[in-house]
Amino acid sequence: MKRSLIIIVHMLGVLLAIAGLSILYVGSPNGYGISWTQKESYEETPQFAQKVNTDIGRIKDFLYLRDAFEAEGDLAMDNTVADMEVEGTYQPLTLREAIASAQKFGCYLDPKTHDISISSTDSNQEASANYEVKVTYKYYDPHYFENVPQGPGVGVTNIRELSIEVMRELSEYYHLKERYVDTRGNLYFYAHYMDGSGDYQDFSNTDQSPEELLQLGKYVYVQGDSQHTESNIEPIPESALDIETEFNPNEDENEEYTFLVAVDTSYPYEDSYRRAARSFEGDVRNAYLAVGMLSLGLLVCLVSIVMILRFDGYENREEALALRPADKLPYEIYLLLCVAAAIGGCFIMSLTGLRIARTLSPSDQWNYWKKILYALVIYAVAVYGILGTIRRARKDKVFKNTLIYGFITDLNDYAAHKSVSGTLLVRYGLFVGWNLLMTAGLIWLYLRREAGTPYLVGFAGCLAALVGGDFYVFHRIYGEARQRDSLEEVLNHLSEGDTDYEVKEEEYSGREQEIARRLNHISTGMRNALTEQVKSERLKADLITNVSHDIRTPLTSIINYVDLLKREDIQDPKVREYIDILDKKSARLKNLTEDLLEASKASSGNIRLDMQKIDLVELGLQAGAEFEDKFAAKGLELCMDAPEHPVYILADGRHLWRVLENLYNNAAKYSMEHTRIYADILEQDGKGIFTLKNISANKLNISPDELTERFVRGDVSRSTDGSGLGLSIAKSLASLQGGELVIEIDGDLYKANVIFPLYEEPAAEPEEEEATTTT
Amino acid sequence: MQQTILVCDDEKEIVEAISIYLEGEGFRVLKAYDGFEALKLMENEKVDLIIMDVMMPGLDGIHTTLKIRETSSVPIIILSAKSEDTDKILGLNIGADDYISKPFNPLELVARVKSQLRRYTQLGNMNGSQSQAVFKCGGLTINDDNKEVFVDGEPIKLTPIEYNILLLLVKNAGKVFSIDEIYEQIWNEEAIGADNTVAVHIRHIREKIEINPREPRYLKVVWGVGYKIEKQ
Repeated sequence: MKRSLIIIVHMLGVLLAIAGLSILYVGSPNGYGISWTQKESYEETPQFAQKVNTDIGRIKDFLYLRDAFEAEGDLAMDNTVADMEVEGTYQPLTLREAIASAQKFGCYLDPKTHDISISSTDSNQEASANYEVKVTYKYYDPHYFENVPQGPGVGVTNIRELSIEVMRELSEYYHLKERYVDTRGNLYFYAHYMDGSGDYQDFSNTDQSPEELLQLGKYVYVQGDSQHTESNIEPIPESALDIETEFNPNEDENEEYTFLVAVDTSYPYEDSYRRAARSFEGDVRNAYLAVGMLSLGLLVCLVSIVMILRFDGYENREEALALRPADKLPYEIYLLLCVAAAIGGCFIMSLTGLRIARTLSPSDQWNYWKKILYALVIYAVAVYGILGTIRRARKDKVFKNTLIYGFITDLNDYAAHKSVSGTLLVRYGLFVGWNLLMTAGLIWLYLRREAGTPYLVGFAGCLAALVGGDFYVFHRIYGEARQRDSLEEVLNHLSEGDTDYEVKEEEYSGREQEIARRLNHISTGMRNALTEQVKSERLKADLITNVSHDIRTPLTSIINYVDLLKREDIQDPKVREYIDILDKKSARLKNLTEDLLEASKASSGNIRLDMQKIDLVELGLQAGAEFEDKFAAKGLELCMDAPEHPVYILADGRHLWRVLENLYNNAAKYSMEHTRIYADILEQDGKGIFTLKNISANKLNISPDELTERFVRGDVSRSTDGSGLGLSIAKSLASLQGGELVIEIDGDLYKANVIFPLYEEPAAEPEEEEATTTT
Repeated sequence: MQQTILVCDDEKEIVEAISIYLEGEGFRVLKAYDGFEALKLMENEKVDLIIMDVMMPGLDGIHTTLKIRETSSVPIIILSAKSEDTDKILGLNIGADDYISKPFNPLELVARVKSQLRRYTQLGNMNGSQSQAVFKCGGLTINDDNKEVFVDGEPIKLTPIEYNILLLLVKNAGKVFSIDEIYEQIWNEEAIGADNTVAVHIRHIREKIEINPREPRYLKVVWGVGYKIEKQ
């Protein structure tokens, strides 16, 4: 499987896991985690406790507001809602005054919805709005001053703010009343408490007695004479505990205090409790689904990462471990880069992903998304880093490719080559020491420049010594570098085969001189070897030449006497047949010796070349004319296609003719009778190409390369005459002249291409013939 | 008059074979088997032509030729197993008139012998009768007055186009003409495309005037450039 595919699968796994996690943590109405799914019913969950808790707090608030604003089921307009000090004198604020004042400032309570609306105040009311009051007691929030720190500025506000605050509380009162008293729900409460005036009040949203309420299901029961809060809700709502401390049982006058909240768990009425209880099963299912997603995601992650780990670094199973460019970095730098990438990624994420998450999710989930996104970035970088580490480990490179390891290796290397490192260290130390010493001296002398002439002279001397010493070091380094450069040039000459290049030893000094001397040794050795080789090549060529010469003399006699025999008037047809065979075979032997000699010369390069500007078209026409009769004898037709203009190449005309002659000869010899032979000449890519195509009479089950080998012929039976050297000679001759002969075979189509570089007008190659004869 | 030919080769069988061919053509043949014998025979006999092998024991063909050239201008045909160009050039430079490589075609040898003899005997005769319309190049003579062509005195039959081509080349001996140039000069038209008419004509001329058209003495092929008559 491809690596990128595995990575994509892994990413999908991560996304799946995150989706599952998110459903569990932010998508569930029943609280974080999955522990609540183990509860048998909604009432057992922390979410239920939390909901009751919230409701108790609200009911408590409602009780205070009711005391402040209501009397006998109606708004108590004359009730004092706040005590104020206006310019040092006490002044109560009644509800009526507060409402009137609020209306004056454009704040109204909607009679139906009980929402408040505040219109902008006009400017002449601005002054009175600003008049300052100091609130000393709020009847609608009796514990307000207990919860704020005491100080001179506490409670200072203006009449506008205060009246609007009262209106808000009034609105809140209506809302709570609507929710808990006027609307029938599954939550019941009963409160027996002492109001601000010291009278006990009973207040409940039901007619049922506390004992009956306790039977309904879940309850919280706070009693003033007990320190114990009775409840079957787990955990016990915190707001109920608040009530207990607020109405301290130790204060005698409030010991009758009773507060009971109960939830009817049969849920006879439609409200948020009933909805939550109904959806509980579905929520549990969702939670299990989320857990499933999370587990599946994690599993996919795990499997894919194992696969990546197994294959990472291998392009496929068979190939060797391949390191990535980043794996060549030293490990420390790699890790640092990973950390930097994590930080940078988080930064970029805070600018992009986090902002998107904040626009898409409610604010209480922001923290969650922030953690998730950062974790994602860090996870990606960590996976990358670990993969890199494992690749290194596979190559056994984790430690070996650290800067520390490199440094230790270097130290070992220095220790192992003490002669080099020691000398270098001493020299370098001397150089640095000298510079430090002189610089210190200069500073010391400079600080005492006021002290007199000797110091100035010393300063100048020191400076001269410093500059002089440094210049000397530079000169030495320069000298060695220059000598190395020239040695390199010598090596270039040698490697290009210029063995006559001699190094002048006296131009070098020290080690370089030794190297120069050895280079001279090498070049002499190479020269000798080369001469030996040339000599042996020449010997071989000479041997072939001599042998063929020696064959010629007896061959002359054979040919001559066979010819003489043919002239005799011999009647016996058998003898005539024998003579005929002798004639043919001696002629063949003659061709063979000639071709052998030529092949030997061509392949050894022992041929004098006279390179000239040659017109391929002209040569093609000339060659065609030479073979016209031979082709006609076999019923072959020569078709020539050449450009109108000359195609000039650089070659030796006579030898190029030999190349073409051999090709034409082959065509004449091996073509199927009554077919056409095509000779094409064209210019292409700076080359002049002559192509000869013919249809072979015999099956060509032989490769083009083999054809140009010596003694290989198109007909394996060797029935036709021919030495089998023709193509070999042609190929050698063509390459001697700087061209090439390329044979192509396509079925029975035999194609010979002679390719030469085009003649370039100013090309000056006068020494060409000399160069080729020596090789 | 029977002409005398001296054949000199260390291979007795070759000398014998050559003798048979030459005697068959009506020549008198003197046989020598090394350079010294040849020189001795030269002193005593009147020789019209010498066929000389190069590689011989004792005095070799080159040195014998040099010796003979000190006193005589008799035609010498060098016979050698070496076919390299340098050997040919060396042989011709030291005074030999022609060169045949071993193994040779007996008919070619006879033809060359005859050709040399004709040239040698006619050289003296032709000296007096030179008119403006006669062009000569070695053994090749063209008489433009009566459109006759002679090679070593032997008349050659050429077609009008072949004659015109040969005349053009002989008139400008040494100059190389390309196929297109020849075409334009002879046909008085511009040459179009690849046409090997001229090349075929020239091959025919070569077959008529050369003993061995593959190794022409007069009408040479300058491969890839054109044709020329060697200036002699």
